[in-house]
Amino acid sequence: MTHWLVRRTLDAALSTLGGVLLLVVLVQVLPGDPLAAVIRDFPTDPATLTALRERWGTDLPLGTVVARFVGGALRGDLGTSLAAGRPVTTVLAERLGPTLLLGGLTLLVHFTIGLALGLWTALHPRTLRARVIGGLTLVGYALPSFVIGLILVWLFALTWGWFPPAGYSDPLLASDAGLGAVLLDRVRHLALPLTTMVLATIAVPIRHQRAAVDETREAPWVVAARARGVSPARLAVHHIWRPALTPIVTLLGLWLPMLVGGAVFVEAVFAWPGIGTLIAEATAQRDVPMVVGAGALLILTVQVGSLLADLLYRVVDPAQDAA
Amino acid sequence: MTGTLRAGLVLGGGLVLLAIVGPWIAPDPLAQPDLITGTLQSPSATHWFGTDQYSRDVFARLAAGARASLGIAVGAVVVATLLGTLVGLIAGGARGAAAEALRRAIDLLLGLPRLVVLLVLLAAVGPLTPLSLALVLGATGWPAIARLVRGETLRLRETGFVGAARALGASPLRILRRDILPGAMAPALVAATLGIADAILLEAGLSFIGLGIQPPAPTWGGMILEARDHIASAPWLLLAPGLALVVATTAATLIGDALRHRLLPGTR
Repeated sequence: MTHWLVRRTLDAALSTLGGVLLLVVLVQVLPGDPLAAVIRDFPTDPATLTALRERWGTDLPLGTVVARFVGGALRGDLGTSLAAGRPVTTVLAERLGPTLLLGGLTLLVHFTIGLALGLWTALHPRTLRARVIGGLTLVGYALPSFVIGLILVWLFALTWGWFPPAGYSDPLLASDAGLGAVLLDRVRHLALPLTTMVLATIAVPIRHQRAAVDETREAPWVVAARARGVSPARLAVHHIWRPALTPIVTLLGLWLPMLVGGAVFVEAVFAWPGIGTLIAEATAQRDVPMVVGAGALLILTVQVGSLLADLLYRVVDPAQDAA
Repeated sequence: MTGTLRAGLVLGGGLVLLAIVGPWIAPDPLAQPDLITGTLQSPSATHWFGTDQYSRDVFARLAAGARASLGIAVGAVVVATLLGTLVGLIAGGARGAAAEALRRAIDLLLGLPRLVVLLVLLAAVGPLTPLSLALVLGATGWPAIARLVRGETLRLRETGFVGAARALGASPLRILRRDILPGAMAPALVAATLGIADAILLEAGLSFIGLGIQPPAPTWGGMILEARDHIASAPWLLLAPGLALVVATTAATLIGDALRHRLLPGTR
């Protein structure tokens, strides 16, 4: 296990490094001025251009640029944002919290409501309620996340006024407001983005859980337990659900890229001040160091997620170690 | 023909028809005929899906957007399938260090979120034309297909008919082309059809965050972006392109699933 973990961690580290390096090289070899964010359409004389290139180090050969980036990245320095003029890592740190909050809560809903719905629909496949759940999740899956988000804004924010249409917190909230008021404000702002994320993605955990439960529903040990007179509730939770949870942990690895994609578009709908809006804004401003830095963070997240998923799978299914 | 396939073909065929015929029967999608009284009109006989905030005809924009969205997605998938099949065949057919290096390269690329690569690319070169956007979407979509084709090639390499071809003295290239390629194309075709849905959603998403095809050119994602300031007063601006996106992705998924059942019996 230790041997495997060391090798797998090394593998994840190399994949992250390789992926980020690919981005850095891509930026260098592609046409387009890396300083487009600074120069824009301003008339710039050659001397200024040379000075700018020297200051940002964009006229150096490919090898030097890559070596500098790697050296900096290993020391926790991802360069300076061209648009903000501040270290990329500082800007990333400011934007990480909102994205983790939204993504973490989405995962939480997946692992609770999603799994419960999957179990329930697998045990009662022919009921009307199961079909309604199946139909709704399919519609949610077919609709692009930003369309779901805008429909929710239209109904729940603009028509009925239950929730704010966008933003992370109320700018008019008194700075000395109590914890309760701040919390309520945060929940109100979270409601629509979180619902959007969940509606757009919950079909995946439900379907996976349902398929896993289908595998264990009529397993020999379930038949034996039923014959012993185990109550249906205990049968469902203990004998059917528990073994069906094993394959679900690998979903974590699959989910993270999906949450990354979802975050970019859902955050855009609600002006949620996270990594998703940051990378979109930085792309529009052609702030290359910022985009590469945010991209590196997302690649790291995906790799760590898939490492965690593999690790969890080994923890819940020790038979994997023997293989 | 199964119900799934029929439903997929009807939906997909409807959209293709809209993309081909629509722009012929609809007014100019860029014309702003009446900026004084003609803006944000609800659907009527003259404007089937109403008008937008610049009094442009929404049906005309939807049809022109269908042309852009479907054209870009199909172009992207063709590029991805060609590249993916080529690399997958080579990776599956090669031996030794080259095969290992290709396997690692494919895995490395698969670990990169496609959207991240696209955004880095857009940051480096700026907004793209529809043609280059299709190429770029294809260039970021091929690793998934390459992995499938590689796996299938490895499997087919050990089959009896390939062994027979080898015994008859066929060259490795001939075996790859004549004996393995036809079989390895099946999973690639299924993945490509399903990939059309991904490409449509990615292009729409990029246009929605203002990084795809630039206005005033009509795209479904761009229409949704422009609709967001008028959702309460003119919901058709959101619903028309939103529905078109759902129909397009559903059609691609249904056809892909039907193809999977037909070409790859026994999977899922």
